[in-house]
Amino acid sequence: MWAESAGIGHGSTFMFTIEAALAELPTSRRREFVGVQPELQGKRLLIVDDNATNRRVLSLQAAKWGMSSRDTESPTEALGWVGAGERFDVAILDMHMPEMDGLALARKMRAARRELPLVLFSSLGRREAGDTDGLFDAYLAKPIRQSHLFDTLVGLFAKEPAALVSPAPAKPQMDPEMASRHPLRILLAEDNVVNQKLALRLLQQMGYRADLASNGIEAVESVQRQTYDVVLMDVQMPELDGLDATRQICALMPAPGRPRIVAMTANAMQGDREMCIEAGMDDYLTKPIRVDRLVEALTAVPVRNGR
Amino acid sequence: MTMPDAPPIDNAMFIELQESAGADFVAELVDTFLEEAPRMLAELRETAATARPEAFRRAAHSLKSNANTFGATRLGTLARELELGGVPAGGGDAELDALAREYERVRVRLQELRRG
Repeated sequence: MWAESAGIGHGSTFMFTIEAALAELPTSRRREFVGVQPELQGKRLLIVDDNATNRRVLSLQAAKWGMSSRDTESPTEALGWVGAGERFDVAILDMHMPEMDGLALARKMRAARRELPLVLFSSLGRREAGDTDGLFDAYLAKPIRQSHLFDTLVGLFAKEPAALVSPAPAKPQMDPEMASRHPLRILLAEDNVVNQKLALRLLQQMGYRADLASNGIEAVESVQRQTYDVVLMDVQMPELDGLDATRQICALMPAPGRPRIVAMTANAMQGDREMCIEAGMDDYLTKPIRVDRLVEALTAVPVRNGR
Repeated sequence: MTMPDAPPIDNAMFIELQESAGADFVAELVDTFLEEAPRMLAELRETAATARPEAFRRAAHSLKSNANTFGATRLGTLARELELGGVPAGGGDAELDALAREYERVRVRLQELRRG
């Protein structure tokens, strides 16, 4: 540290240098898709797509995350592998293939191995698939985005172990048939991993699946790409918070066409609810999420047609 | 301040979580939290030291939210104070040390509870 001065009456300039550790990039952890991912490591992926480039992109990406994969352009060959009992933890199926389309292939795969999570890969994501009647566990839109692929796979595996080990009996208010009576396309916008897993679990117990967005920007992108009936929107998210994301969605989509937006917030302070409603949200849940309130909020979402 | 001797985990809240999400699932969720929380504590230290008030509040908010999910009420309260107050005057070392100590109690208790 040193000081310089032009003399009495001119003031002094004090200077110093410090040695600082390199700052980490201020991105959220979920943005780091590089390298082996503990949630995905060791999982085996089946890829069925007639497009060789897509197969290559998917298998390379999977390998980088520590997954192994087997791919083919032929649905028949894939069914052969599955039928022979080869282990797969998830299958990604292309929608348009000359031999057999993704829907027909999915039905045959379901018949062969009911528990294998199936992901439909198509240019329009879920919209293109029409009414697939719970055939797919998730949808991937083309062109494939790394973050979406990551979220989708992690989301599937986050739910999977619960299905393998017998879950403790849930409270009676949790109705596993709710989703079939009141089907909804749900987007969960939440950056915190614990909250993501818990919300997906509660939804799963009512028979619902949800797509994931891990910040406000992804949420705004997702509702434009796909039709959702409801967005469960965390208020505090990095990049773009839930309030701003809601404002953007409302500006982009007029009221009857846009999904219902339900705030989820751990703030629960006075004025918080008003702030959410003012931003354009339709409903408000406090965290930790109470099951009865979640059921209420989902019940209030109108079921829309036009898949 | 809250009582230092309050149990780290409110049993009733933890049981309620198990009842609504299933005990096996909650065991998994505890593991996820114990993986994530040290990162949040480190993020609080780092953002306090590098004067990034927004990131500091967000990390405090995340920790508060997760603490409350498991019934870690005192940890939740400490994190909430940091969320609302921002980086404490004096850099926050004392506050973050207290937070880390409380987290340690929570971690030990959660690991007991997760084994059932």
